[in-house]
Amino acid sequence: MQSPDPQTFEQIRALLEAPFWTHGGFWIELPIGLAGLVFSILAFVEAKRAAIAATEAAKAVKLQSMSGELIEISQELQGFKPGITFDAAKAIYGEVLFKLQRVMAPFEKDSGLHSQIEAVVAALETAHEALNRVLPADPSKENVAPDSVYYGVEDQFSMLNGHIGRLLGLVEQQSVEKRK
Amino acid sequence: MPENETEALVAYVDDLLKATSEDKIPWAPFNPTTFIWDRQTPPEARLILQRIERTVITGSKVVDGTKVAVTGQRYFHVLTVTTVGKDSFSVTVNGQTEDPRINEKLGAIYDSISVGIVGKKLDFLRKTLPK
Repeated sequence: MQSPDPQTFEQIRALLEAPFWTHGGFWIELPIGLAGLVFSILAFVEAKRAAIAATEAAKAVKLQSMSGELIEISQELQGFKPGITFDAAKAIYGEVLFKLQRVMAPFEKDSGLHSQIEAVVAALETAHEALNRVLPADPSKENVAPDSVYYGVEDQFSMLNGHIGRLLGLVEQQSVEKRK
Repeated sequence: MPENETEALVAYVDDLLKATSEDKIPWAPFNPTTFIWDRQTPPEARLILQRIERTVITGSKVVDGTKVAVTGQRYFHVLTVTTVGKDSFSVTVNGQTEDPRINEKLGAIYDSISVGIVGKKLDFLRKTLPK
């Protein structure tokens, strides 16, 4: 193999020893690299923002459907009228309990709804206790005192409905804020 | 309700309390908070006494500069008297809306019935023990 002549060798050595920023190629690649980095950061921020927006939109939809269900539950509770039998009252309670637990479960840890959800749960327990206090000794003779179930549970179910109304108000408020 | 009617009602409830305390009325439990007496002699009637729990405003407090109501639970009593027969007639005495003395006396009747029934149940249980 033929060795390079000393002049060429000297040129290669000078080129290698020179600082990188003195190379013309560096100044061409630097803005391209920086632009790439900036675009990557912007893409990340945008993706993050889109993910948050998607989560918020999903929550807004869920809140909207929750508010519809709470209105429905409230209407069911208005089925408590004088003359209601124990079985009918128990059936309404069972249905309301199931529906409320289902719609409230995803928001149990939500800071804006947590304390009102706890109030609804406490009112459900109070209503259950009231229902137990009117369990007829002889179900076949229930028509003997036709209003005893109504008198015994009416106040507790009204209070439950009141707490549901307050929860509905908070849900609607959150739903409006999410849409902003 | 006019005062003379209230006084007449108080007197009626007093008589009912006296008869209950003297064990002259065979009240029977209908559910854990209701007692019934079916009067068999003329005029045939059915008396239903129920204890109900109600949420009432017991006071007020200031929260964040706003005055809010404080609620609590109170017992009220409802007595329904219905005549039995073709031309049935019904009167309801609601301890929540009538003179407070009436609720108090109805509560005393309720307690007297409860104590009597518990006593009868315990007597029965004692009788089932071996001698």
